Amino acid sequence: MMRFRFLLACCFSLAFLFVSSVLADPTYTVNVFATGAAVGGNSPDSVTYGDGSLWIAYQNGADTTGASGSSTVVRYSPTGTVLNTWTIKGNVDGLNIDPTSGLVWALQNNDGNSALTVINPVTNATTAYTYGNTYTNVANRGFDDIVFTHGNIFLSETNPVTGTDAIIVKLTTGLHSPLQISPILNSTFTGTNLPTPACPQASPSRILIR
Amino acid sequence: MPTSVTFTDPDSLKLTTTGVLVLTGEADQKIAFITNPGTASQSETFLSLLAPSGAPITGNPDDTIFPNASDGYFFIADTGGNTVYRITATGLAPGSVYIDVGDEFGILDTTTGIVTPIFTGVSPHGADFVAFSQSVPEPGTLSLILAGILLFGAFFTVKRRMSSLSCRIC
Repeated sequence: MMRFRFLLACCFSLAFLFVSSVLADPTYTVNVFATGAAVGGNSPDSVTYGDGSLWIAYQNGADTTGASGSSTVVRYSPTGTVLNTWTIKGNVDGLNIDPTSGLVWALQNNDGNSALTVINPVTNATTAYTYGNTYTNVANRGFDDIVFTHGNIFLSETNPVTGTDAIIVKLTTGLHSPLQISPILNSTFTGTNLPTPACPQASPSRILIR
Repeated sequence: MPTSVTFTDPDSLKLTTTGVLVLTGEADQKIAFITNPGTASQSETFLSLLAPSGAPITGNPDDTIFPNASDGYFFIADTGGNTVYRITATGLAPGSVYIDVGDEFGILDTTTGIVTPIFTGVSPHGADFVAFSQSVPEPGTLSLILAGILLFGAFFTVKRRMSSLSCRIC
């Protein structure tokens, strides 16, 4: 009888925890995960998760055209332990992981003289790549972010001057220099403006700061 | 009704859980959704970002995040604060969208463009979401469940011993 009551109580407590977690409003609890000071870096920017780790690019004030300075890419365990660091020339703005190969792509210099460094997360080796003549590399233009989807690789391109300048391009070559691109969206495009009625939203739910 | 729009300050490029590309126009204070990118059937929609009051947002947007689970961690790089934050989130609504704007990280209502802040830093930029199932289990939740079970077990054991003791005294 006692054992039955014990099991019943356990079932009730688990059911309560499950139901309350399903019905509750979102909750947010904020913690510090890492600081730049701990790795001698500053200005953390790009964040990506993959290969079982969190990857952060610290820009360290490096010039966005690659004229000076370097960035620090840090690989953290999910609990915040530093697993490795890499110093990459220029300003890393755009960091993502190819889900097929597991390679970590670090885009350098988003405002001109863009280049690419790829980190092998197994060997920790880096490989540098350059863009070909389809990247015009006019003043202030470069690649800012990267997405891998269904075998395609897309990049955002900064600072268009005219409406016909590309703002999203597709990588048309594999991972080898020179990297070539082709535009898929120009600065001026035709699209549907999603409705934006001016109505206040409900206040956010519980926030806990630790 | 399709209309012409110009993005002058393209920046962050992300992917929704359904494979739609999302481009942030920082100074434009807009985001664009590109469906079937790079194909003949590619199409675009866009959204102007608004403050909870319905006025245009103050500050520039950066990364948009599309959580793929109801529970997980947001990792936010606060560039100006030189700190990376981990926000443990539970009970997220399916299809919810989050975005950095100015000094805030908030939830974006894609039907209105309104961003409601959930966290204020110095200048959050990069962000990503990791479901609990992709990462290590949330220790707090596991601890609570185990503690609850152990507490019930301890309670019934003590009660059982007390009743058997009182029977012996009787």
